[in-house]
Amino acid sequence: MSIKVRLYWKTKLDRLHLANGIHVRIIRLFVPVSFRETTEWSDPVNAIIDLGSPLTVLPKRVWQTMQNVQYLSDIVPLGGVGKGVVLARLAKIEIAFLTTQKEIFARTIKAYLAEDDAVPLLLGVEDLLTWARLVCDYPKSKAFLQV
Amino acid sequence: MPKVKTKSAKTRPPRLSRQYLRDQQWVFDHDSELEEKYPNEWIVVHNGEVLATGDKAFDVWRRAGELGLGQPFLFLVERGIHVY
Repeated sequence: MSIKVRLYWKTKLDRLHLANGIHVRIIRLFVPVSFRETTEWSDPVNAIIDLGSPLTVLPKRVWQTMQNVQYLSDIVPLGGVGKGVVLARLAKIEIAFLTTQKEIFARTIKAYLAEDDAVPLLLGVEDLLTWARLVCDYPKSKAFLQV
Repeated sequence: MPKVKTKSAKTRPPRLSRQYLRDQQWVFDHDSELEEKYPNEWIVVHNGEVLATGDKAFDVWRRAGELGLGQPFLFLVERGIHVY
């Protein structure tokens, strides 16, 4: 049996362009997730589904309470985010995709742990869309991951 | 004042509370007002109230923890378009 994890669309109008009579929507797709910190799991945090990010990126505020992190690399620069470069280390972490149902899906994934909070929590393609089917239907306000 | 819940050890991933989803929906519905009041700030919302704000997410998160909220809804109120 497959598990469906609901995703949440957020839409607002860009006020800057609206003042010039141009209608631009700012749309994001969120999913509540939790991370294993020690033997316990974190409170839910909202992550942005970001198909422009090859890997998941965690800001420091999210991972700094994790213990026994298994690092896979030294600090490396990530281009194209924040003010141009964000420093981060590749690591293995445990993530759970949360729903209001009993079925909660947890998995170990590779992710970049950023050295600061300049980048938001981004869920990238590797270890996410490589094992889950992403279904997006913005016109019907629906989206989910199917595992 | 929000209801105060005692936190229990979470040895399993938490089930998402309906309150969390209600708080999320409230933020999504009131985004324009929030953008006016708290541009590019982190906020914690509970039951239609903004309980904590600031420019450092971890500090705001910690204040939410001190209030004893079960699953605090933390959110960055983005002003304009942020491209990551």
